[in-house]
This record gives sequence, C-alpha cells and structure tokens, in this order.
Amino acid sequence: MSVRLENVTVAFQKNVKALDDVSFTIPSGVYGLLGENGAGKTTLMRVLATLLKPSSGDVLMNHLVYRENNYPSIQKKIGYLPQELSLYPNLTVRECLEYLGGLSGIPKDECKKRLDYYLEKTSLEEHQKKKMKQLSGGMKRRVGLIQALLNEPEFLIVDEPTTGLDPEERIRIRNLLVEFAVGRTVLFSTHVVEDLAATCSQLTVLKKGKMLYSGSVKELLKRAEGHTWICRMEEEAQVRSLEQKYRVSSKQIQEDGMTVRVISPEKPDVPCSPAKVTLEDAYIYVSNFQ
Amino acid sequence: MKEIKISLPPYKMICALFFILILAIVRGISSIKEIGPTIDSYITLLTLVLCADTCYQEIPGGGWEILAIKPGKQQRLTILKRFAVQYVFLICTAAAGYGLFYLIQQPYMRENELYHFATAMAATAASIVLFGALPVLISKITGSLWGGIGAAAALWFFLISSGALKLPLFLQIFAFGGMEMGDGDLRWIYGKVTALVLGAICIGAVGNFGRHLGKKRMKGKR
Repeated sequence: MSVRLENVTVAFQKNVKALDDVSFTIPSGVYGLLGENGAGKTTLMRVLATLLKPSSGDVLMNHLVYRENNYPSIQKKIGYLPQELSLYPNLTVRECLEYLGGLSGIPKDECKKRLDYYLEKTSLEEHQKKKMKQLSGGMKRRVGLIQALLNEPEFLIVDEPTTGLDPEERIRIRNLLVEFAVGRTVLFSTHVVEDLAATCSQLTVLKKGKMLYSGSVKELLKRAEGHTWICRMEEEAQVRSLEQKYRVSSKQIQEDGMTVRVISPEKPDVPCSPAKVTLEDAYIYVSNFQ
Repeated sequence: MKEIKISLPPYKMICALFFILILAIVRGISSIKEIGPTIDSYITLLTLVLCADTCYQEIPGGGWEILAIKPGKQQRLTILKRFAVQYVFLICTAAAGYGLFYLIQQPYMRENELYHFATAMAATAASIVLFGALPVLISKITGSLWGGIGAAAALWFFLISSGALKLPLFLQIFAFGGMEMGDGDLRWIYGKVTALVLGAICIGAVGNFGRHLGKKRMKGKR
C-alpha cells in the first residue's frame, strides 16, 4: 500500500493556502509528518482521510484516485484519529468502542476479540467500564487510537496520537504503531520530534502549507551535519547575545556555566565545537535555513 | 441500546419530564377534548429543542471526523435509530403528560376518553416526526444548532398562531382540536399527513453525519 500526493493545494477564501503544491509518496511502514502548529498537517490528514477535497492536485491510494465515487472503497481502508476527539460522555469505554466498531461494520465477535487485544495493548483494560466523561485526556487519546485501529485499516492516519500521554504510555503507543505498520501504511503526524525519531525512517516536513523536506530521516540528518554546534558560555549576557544572533535549540545550566546548542549554517563566532546532529536539530535547520 | 445513552442523556429526560409537569400544572383546561391539542402543540416545542442535536452533537467533540468515513449505510441507520429512540421517548412523554393533565386538571367534561387519547397520541406523533427532523436538517445545512432550533421554533410559532388559518388545510399542521373543527371533524388529519410526509423527507434529507469544516470556504475544485 502506498499513497501518493501530486501537487495538492488546499486554498480557503481570501486565497489563504493551507497546503501549497505538496507532492510526496507515503510508502508502507510508519511515515512521519512533521511541522509546527499551523503548518498544514491536519489539513493534509483531512485530505487523506477523504474529509476535505483539495482545491487542485490529486491523491492516489495505490492506483485508486481520491474521487467522490471512489470514496467508499478508500474509506474502507482508512483508520483515522483526529487531532481532537471527545466521544459520547455517557457511554463506557467498551460501549463506545463497540458502537464505533459496529458502525464500521465489524462483526460483533470479531469486534470483541479486537477490542480485548487493543484495550490490553493500550493499558485501558482496567478502565473499560469507566464512562468516557471520567477519562483523562491521555486515556481519551488512547480510546481514539483504538477506534482508528479497530477496523484494521491498510492506511492508518494518526494526528498527534501521543498528546497528553505520560512517557511510558508514549513509548507503548509508539511501539504499537510500529507493530501495526507491518504490511500497512501509518501516517504519524506530530510536532514532537522525539516520537518520529523513535518510529519512522521516512518523513515529510511542512511549514506554512509548503513542503520543506520529504525523504529519509538519515538524509535529513545529513543536511544538518556541520551546522550544529555546542557552545560553552560563562555569563548570562553572552548567552543572550548568542540567542540574538543564532538559532539556539537548547540551553543547559551546568556548574561551570551554560552549554548552548546552536543551529547555524556557519560556525558561530564564539568558542564552540561541532555536535552530533539529532532529528530535532535537523528539523530546526531545515525549517529555518532551507 | 447505546443510542439511548447517546440520544437521551439524563438531563434531557429530566428536562422533558419537568416541562410536561409544569405544563400540566399551569395550562388550565376544562374538557378532556382540550388535552390532546394542548399536548400536541407544546410537545412540539420540546421536540424541536430535544432532537436538534441528533447529528450536531458529533461536531463539538470532533466525532464527525470519524463518523464521516464510516459506511454511508451505517451512518444513515444509526441516525434513524437515534430518531426512533427520541420519537418513542417523546410519545411516551406526551402520553405521560396526557395522564398528568387528567390527574392535575381533573377535566369535568369526560366522554369518549379512549378515543380522545388515541387521536391525541396520533396527532402528537405526527408533529413529533416533523419537528424532530426539521431542526436537525436545518442545523446540518446551516452548521448552526441554534439556527436549526430558531428556524423550527419560528415555524412552530407561526403554525400555532391564527395566521396559520389562512393556509390551505393540508398545511395547517396544528388544526387538530382547533376552534373551527367541530366534533367528529377529521379534516385535521390532512395537516398531520403533511407533517408525516415532510418529516420523512427531512429525515431522508439529513442522510449522513456530513462534513463540518467550519466557516472557511473552499476555493476551486469541490
């Protein structure tokens, strides 16, 4: 299964473009979608989930073109977790998922089996009798993820699935997505770079509706090589001056001063040494200097 | 049945019961013949408020985004179930209201009690069908819950006013028990048949949960 976007543009009134001429291919496995808030990630996911038609351009699932008459066949293959999802407050977790499973046309016995499996995988087993209104944000997110997985879609679209989860849960969910992606396609959108570093080998970076990068994580890291520096500063004033001149990705206070991580196309004019590039550095480099 | 929990949360049931109780207390009647028309016109107001969010309730929580990609047939079926659940509840509420009127107001003119009750329930059911579906359809078209309630309430207000008497008989939805209808006059049925037909059309037109992408209008290819 692969999904291809060809020159996709989504324009709203007053010529505001949420997506501007975006083209890339999503192959099997976990594929990352990275971008700041307002980059167009959710719009792109809505297009891929058939909720929004692009103003121009085409989307193809294998060889099936995204057109109204093909939507029923495409929708059968899709599982979607929207960015914000708050479901039936008076239903219990299990009832809610059974209801949505029924709406997907999953036979009752099969639905029960899948539910037991995913409730266990997402540590929601003990909360299955709780009403939806009693759940925390992270639990609701996990319920949302289960409903997306329940019809075992060939193409899973998840919009910030790890929001509100504690570190252990995030790892668990990331691993679940990686397991699920075997023989399937998972589009994983987030602005948490760490999540993508742990799950995908390919990704697309969006900024203000435009595609900044599409390709492998390795290649993205390569692009930022030689542009990431660690500078040791002794005084706060020096750090402030450095921040005005360069893009500082992190600061760490230590006993003998402060360690500052700088992303810059040129070597900063302060004492510094090259650093090992992380995906976060590469993302900042691509979004600010390319 | 999960549709009951979804469509009829406890607050809706409590509001409905209070509404009918207060109505039975404050609305004076002298004859048993007056109970039916009173129930018919006022339960309609309750109906349009109660049913308006049948589909709209999926918008604030983002549920529409996952429902919109479910098979169309399943979407239509679940909407029909939600309507059915609410209609049955409202008809039961109307019947309870009829009983409350009987107990609280103690009408002194009592004849053909069963006949009056049956016609009242039939007339009320037809109004419920139309005014349950109409605000849902308007809310879906306008994207505004209050738009749907407001438009349906305005229509209801006109139809219970004397202005509606100028309409052809088949459009007089609330002619049941009107002053111009004598004993045994069944011409009010025309209006109720219209209500049923229009209600069915509205339910059919609601179709699925739809896509709700806010007020940003798309340009280009649709």
